[in-house]
Amino acid sequence: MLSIRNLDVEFHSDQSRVHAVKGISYELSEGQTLGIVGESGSGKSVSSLSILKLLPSTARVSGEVFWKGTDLIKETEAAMRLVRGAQIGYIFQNPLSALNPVFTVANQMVETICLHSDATKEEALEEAIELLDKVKIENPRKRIHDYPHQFSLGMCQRIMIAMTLSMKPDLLIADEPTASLDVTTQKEILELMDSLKEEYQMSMILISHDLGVVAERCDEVAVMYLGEIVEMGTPKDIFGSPKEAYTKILIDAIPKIRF
Amino acid sequence: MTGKVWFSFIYLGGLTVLALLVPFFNFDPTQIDESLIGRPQAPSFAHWFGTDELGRDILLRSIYGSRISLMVGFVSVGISICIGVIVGVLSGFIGGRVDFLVMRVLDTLMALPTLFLILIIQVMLEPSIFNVMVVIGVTSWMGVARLVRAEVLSMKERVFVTACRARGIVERKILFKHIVPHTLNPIIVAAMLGMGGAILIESVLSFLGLGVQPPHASWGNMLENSLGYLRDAPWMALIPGVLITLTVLSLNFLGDGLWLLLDPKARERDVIHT
Ligand SMILES: Nc1ncnc2c1ncn2[C@@H]1O[C@H](COP(=O)(O)OP(=O)(O)O)[C@@H](O)[C@H]1O
Ligand SMILES: [Mg+2]
Repeated sequence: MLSIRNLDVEFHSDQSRVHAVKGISYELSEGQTLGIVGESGSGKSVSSLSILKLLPSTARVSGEVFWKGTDLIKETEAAMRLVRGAQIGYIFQNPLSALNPVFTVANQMVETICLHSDATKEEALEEAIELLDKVKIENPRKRIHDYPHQFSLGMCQRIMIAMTLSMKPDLLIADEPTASLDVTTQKEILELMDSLKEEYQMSMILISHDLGVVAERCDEVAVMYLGEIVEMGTPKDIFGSPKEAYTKILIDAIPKIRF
Repeated sequence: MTGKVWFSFIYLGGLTVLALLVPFFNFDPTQIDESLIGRPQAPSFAHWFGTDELGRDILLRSIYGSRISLMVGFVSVGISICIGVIVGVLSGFIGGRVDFLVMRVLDTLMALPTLFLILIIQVMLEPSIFNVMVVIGVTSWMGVARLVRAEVLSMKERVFVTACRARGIVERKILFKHIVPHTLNPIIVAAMLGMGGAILIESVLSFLGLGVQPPHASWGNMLENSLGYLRDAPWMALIPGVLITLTVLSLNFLGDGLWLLLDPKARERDVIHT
């Protein structure tokens, strides 16, 4: 369904060049979950944002991103707009900063729903309330008219998930969706995403710097280091017999409790 | 908010109310008292601010003058904000070469001595209050454009703009719905500061006889009238002088106060997390 070949991203500025992604390739088939792990700055976000062509104009992207048979790298902005959200949803690391602070949640959700369907504003509002209920926001009929800063970070991420799901994407890219949350909220959000993935039958790219998060729920794991995929395989392979020294370091970094 | 800001707020509020209400009373600021021509009267109970060289009441003329000043402030700032916002928003959003070119043109325009430009235009055109407002507006929008552009540029980097794009929202809507409202705060502040500047320029022009023409009252031409009477009737110069100073200072204090009030949240910038 998604096939990435030799994806390469370089940032050009007057002073410097940053080679953020160095020719990576991977495949993702329908219904599968791919995990991308790697330390901060290894190119996880940049490579995923370039699938949707969301990088700033300083980025030079080359390679191929085949999505349902077409190469997105060659697509026009107008064509990309039909892919963004409706086919591929993106969830950002910091949910509060991903929402516009000057509009209510209702406003932003209704805008999104109306954009991708023929629903009237009233119908869209009803749908948004149902979705908020589904992601377990309490009293959604009232809370939906609040502003983003009136919600906790965990709740903001639930809202972002609801908003992304309202577009019924076939693929969900979750870019460190829980990295800015505390441990218990992290667990709740991940469980919520697991169940919604089942319900909506989506494929998923789950990005994390925590191999532990990824190992439990992915069919395949790609380990990124300095812009390259250094190792790729099933979680069992990766954990059982890591080939790369870097992967071993990541495995050792998973907290273990000993009594 | 500090005392300065409160004072400015109350002073400007009071001035605006007086300026708006005065035409509803049956006072004529151009009415000449024949018996007092050439003998300005000091402030008294009959004339709180005294009278001028034609026996006209200075309090009344001051209030009518404030109508001119405030109108010039509002209209010319309105014009400069319209132009500045359009140029700033487009330049910042389009970015790249267009932005570079626009910024160089702005630099050039800003390097021109505005006051002299206005003087030349006013000499060539027929001096009228309408011309004053248009000329001030058309020559003072560059600061607004810079400010708005800077805000648009910083908003473009915010995660929620990328998030909007990731939802397939059209660029035009992202710009006008999601980015432009964020430029409102700097615009309000720039408007306050710009009004002070415009009022000052209007006073200068009227003082030089290139602005509001007699017998209509403006603070600038009241100052000009006072020139022959500086020794005998200093209040004729003092009152419009103090009013100009207070008004311009108040607008600046209010602008600064609003800046602090509106700013802290706007400064909480967050760029995409990596
Ligand atoms: N807009 C940008 N301009 C220049 N360099 C960038 C930009 N965005 C990211 N980078 C660089 O690209 C590299 C990869 O970043 P990223 O993909 O965000 O890492 P992460 O794996 O933590 O998500 C980093 O070195 C980062 O500094
Ligand atoms: Mg990242």
